Amino acid sequence: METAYVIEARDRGSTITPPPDDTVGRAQQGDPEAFEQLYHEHLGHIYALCLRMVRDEGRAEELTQEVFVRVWQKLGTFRGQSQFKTWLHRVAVNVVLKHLRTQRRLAAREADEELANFAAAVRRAMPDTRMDLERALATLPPGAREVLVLHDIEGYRYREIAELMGTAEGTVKSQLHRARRIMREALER
Amino acid sequence: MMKHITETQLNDYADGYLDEGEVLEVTRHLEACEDCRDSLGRLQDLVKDLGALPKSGSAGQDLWAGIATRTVDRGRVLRLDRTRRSWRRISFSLPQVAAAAVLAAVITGGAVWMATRGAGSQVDAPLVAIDASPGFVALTAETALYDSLVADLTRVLDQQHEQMDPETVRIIKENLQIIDMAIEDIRSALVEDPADGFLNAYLARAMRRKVEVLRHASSLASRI
Repeated sequence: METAYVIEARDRGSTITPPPDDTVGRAQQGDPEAFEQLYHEHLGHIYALCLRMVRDEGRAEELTQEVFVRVWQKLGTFRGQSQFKTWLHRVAVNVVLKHLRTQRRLAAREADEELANFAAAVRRAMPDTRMDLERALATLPPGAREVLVLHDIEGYRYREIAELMGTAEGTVKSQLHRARRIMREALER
Repeated sequence: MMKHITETQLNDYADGYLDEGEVLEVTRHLEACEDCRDSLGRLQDLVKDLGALPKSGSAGQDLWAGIATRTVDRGRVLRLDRTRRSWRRISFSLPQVAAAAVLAAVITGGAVWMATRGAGSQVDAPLVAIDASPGFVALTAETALYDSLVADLTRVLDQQHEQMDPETVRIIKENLQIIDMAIEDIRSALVEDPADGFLNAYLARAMRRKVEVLRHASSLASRI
């Protein structure tokens, strides 16, 4: 399978061959191996983000796939002004937030089951994480959880989160403070 | 002394969102108020702990198959269709044999998975394990077995898809449609040149993708 691409790349001539270390550039030119390399480099981070945001292993896997499909489709729009990792992460956050917006609220019983499954999935995905924090994080109400993950774990600022979520900075701020208060109460209980 | 620091001020102070004047005011209060110092300490500990959580995790399985089907493989098939005539001078005897072996491995792996799943096992072994010394396999016969395996997996999925998340079902269906389109394209191209080794290899790979997607979907359904 890989041979096919190599032959084709040779036929297309050296003028289109980017520097060998420019994985993003090669992926932008349609190199499947370069894109697969990007996938392997960033899979862990994107999967962890999806898992924490949606709290469901299966949905996190599907969303991770969706993120990379979206990245492939949008690679042409990446101009290199920001780091690729930052750009990719933003695409991922957009995919996850869009998914969450379309999700219906879960019934309480389903939510309990979801939490048990989430704890098991987190333990498998990140064995060295702090489970008390992950559990408290998972019990946060929708909205507050997304803001906390993006601000305190992923390092986004209020303005960026507000932009991504299509909401006011003041709302993001109050969601974050509320989330931290609930977290502290849960951890000190 | 000013009254206790509000939750907003405390958070903004910890996050560095306050301007210089506000920082001075809060700092002065903190020096004199043990309660607020304690609250700030606990808040800072929480923020520090959250920031130290792992940023990366291992997915339960390799997700590349589903991604490749919807991205790079589509491009490959299209490129292949446009340019395959220029490749005809290359000898394909080995790729043909390998393609047949891949398909045989897919069918064997899928059948084993179906059998173990039916027995209630949680076995989730890799689907494809290509033999290092592949012998020639009759593709026609293998294709019939493959069709039967796909039919079995599809039936499992059909029986359980209503309990699954609608968004997940949509994505799975989209994946399967794309793979079916790819398989259809390759088969059409093979009508013109049945001996084309690359096309045979692509066909085997697309079939493998379909089985992987179906198996993954059935795994998701079985977790519900």
